[in-house]
Amino acid sequence: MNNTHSLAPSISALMLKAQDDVANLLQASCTAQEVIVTGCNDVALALRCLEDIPRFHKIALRDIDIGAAVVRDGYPIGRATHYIKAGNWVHIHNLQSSRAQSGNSLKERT
Amino acid sequence: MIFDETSGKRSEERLDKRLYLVTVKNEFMGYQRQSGRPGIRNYLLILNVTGLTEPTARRISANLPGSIMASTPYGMGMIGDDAQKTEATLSGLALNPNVGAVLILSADRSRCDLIMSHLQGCKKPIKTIVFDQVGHDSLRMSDEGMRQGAVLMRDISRQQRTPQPLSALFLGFECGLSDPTSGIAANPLLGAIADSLVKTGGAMVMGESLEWLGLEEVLAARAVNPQVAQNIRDAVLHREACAKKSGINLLGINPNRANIRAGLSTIEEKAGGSVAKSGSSPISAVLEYGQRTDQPGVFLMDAPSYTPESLTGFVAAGAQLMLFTTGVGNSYVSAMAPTIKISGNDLTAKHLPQQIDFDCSAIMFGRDPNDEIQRLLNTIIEVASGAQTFGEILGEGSEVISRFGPSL
Repeated sequence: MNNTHSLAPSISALMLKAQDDVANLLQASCTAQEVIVTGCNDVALALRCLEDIPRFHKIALRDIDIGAAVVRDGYPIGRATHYIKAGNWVHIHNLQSSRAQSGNSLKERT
Repeated sequence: MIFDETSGKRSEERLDKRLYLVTVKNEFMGYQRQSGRPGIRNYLLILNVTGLTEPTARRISANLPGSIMASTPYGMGMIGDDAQKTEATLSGLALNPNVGAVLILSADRSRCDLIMSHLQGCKKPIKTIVFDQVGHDSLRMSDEGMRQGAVLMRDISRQQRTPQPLSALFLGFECGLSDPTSGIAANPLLGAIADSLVKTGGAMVMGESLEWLGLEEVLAARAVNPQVAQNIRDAVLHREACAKKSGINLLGINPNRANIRAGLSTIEEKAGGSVAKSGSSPISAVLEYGQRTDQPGVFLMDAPSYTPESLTGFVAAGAQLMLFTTGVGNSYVSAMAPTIKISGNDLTAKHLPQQIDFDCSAIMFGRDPNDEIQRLLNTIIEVASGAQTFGEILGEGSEVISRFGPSL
């Protein structure tokens, strides 16, 4: 992948609801690449990717505290298991379901 | 006539002319039944109701090209809920509108009579053969089955397709190996189809009750009454409790590894994409596995998520056609209900050109979903009128009845 930040073109991401914490990338992104987020009320916002993220995966749109609910498409899809910074990849390494689990610390229902 | 025998190959020009025709008509060409919804196919169903006769049933079906076999590998020793739901599903399969005639095979008369008792009032031709009447000789049963089946197939082949309103359709909605495009493009497209179909008096069913998890209040709010709302919540709680009781952490099981690789992180995220299939219309009822309904509206089926058993539950409920979305790709289809494979992932559609019947990935990149609604409706009409899906052409279908409990 091209890691020359200034030369990499910006890529697009889809935010489904205005209150969402994450957006889905439409292409794979590289560290420091610019991401243009669209899809909601014609509002576009731009941020920098902090790491390589696979196509269609989620990027954090804002900083998320450890233990905080992560909202996508207007509803919580789980809780952050680590502190997540805007521009981070959000996936199973830092996000966990709040439901139907046994033997872990995130049992409580949202 | 919109049905084209050569439609396995798609000529854009021919397709456009045909689509124009059906768009204007807003109806499809189906097989009128004496009662209930019309069929979109006209199969001889070889219905095997005991495990002992399954190899014979398979031999008979293999020798009657165009017939469909559905079977249970069990039979004796089934009790309680297990016995009751298996019987309901087997008879539901026989009553499905896509079935023109039925040949029932059974090891013993009592089991055959039990299934027949559910089919009273059914006007389609039904023949039965049991081991008792052929001296427990599987080759005699094969011979007799082929002869009787051949006569049934010739009889039903005389039936002609006639114009049927779109509202006569009962669609089953399924997703398998989802990715983020399923929840963003393909499943919302199905939701729009559901709303449009239900408004005209049609019906749809969605199952996979574990995948309502996290969205149960959204679904319950759409229930026609408080009892249905409670049934929705109970169905999810029941599945969630099953998982917990088994010591299963759903993370890593559902979403599964393929879902996770594709970008789905949690069951809540997957569920949100999944329930988008059901649109926004009022939910009429929660059906039990394989429970039949002749009513219009949106139905949820409290059923396992695994595709083979899920689709068979819809067929037994009476669905004639499946809309099946996939992100990563999924080759499985229903044997008895033509299954339109839909993907919102452009790369999947490109990599699996003989699996994906409908590519809606343009929605991901800004295409107006309304354009895709019309295009998918046209494909539905085309397939309902006889155009073959890749799954039918390639024989990817089967029917699998779920399991419901211990047996003796």
